[in-house]
Amino acid sequence: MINTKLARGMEIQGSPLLAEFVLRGFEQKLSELYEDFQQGEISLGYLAEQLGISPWEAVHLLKERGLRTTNL
Amino acid sequence: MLKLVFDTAALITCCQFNVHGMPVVEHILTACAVVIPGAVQSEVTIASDRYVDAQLAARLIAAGKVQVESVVLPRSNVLEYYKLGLGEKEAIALCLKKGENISLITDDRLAYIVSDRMRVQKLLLLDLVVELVASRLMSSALAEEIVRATEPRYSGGFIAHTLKILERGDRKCLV
Repeated sequence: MINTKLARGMEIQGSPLLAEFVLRGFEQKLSELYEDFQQGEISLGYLAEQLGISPWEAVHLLKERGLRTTNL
Repeated sequence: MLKLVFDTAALITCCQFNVHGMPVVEHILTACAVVIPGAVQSEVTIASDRYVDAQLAARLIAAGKVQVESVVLPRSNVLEYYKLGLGEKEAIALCLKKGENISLITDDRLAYIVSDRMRVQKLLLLDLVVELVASRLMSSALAEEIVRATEPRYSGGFIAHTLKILERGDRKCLV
């Protein structure tokens, strides 16, 4: 499970390269999960759990990226 | 008064969008008794230090306007077979616990299908608005404004269809 704080680079400020890897990993995981979510194979709550964030964070995160927050 | 169980995503939508200067959730609470399971409350609590919409939900819970009822998911329950979040699983289980006179409000496709398989009464949020108008618990004009306000959440057909139902006053309308 990806740690969101790591993904935001809050705990790895001393290592920009590691921060970049973690962020890319997070975005890749988000992209895969979002596809499953849009297919109706997973719920929003499951997507959030797999990213280690709350559903509220997931909704805001998707909105920030211009993605739809329902799979209807 | 309709009795409803909300899952997290539906609650978020109702807290995010405003109509007539009032969050959609407040409009719904004038006509409905809303209960959420413990997991959904926990998700609200976690988010309420960061998001205004979660703070609204937290206030409604603290004021007792949104009730919280715990539900225990037994080990090896069938919901574990699905890729649902804990909040969605508990919301479905709470509906089963409370019986037939209550509806799950969810906008999640998987949660909707699973609850259908379990014979749980369920409504999309848009269909709740339609139901409130049909029950004379909400004006058609307000319902239409709520539907238009939440438009960014849904793909095209859902909004257009809901507006047509409200316009015609008939769920079975084809045109």
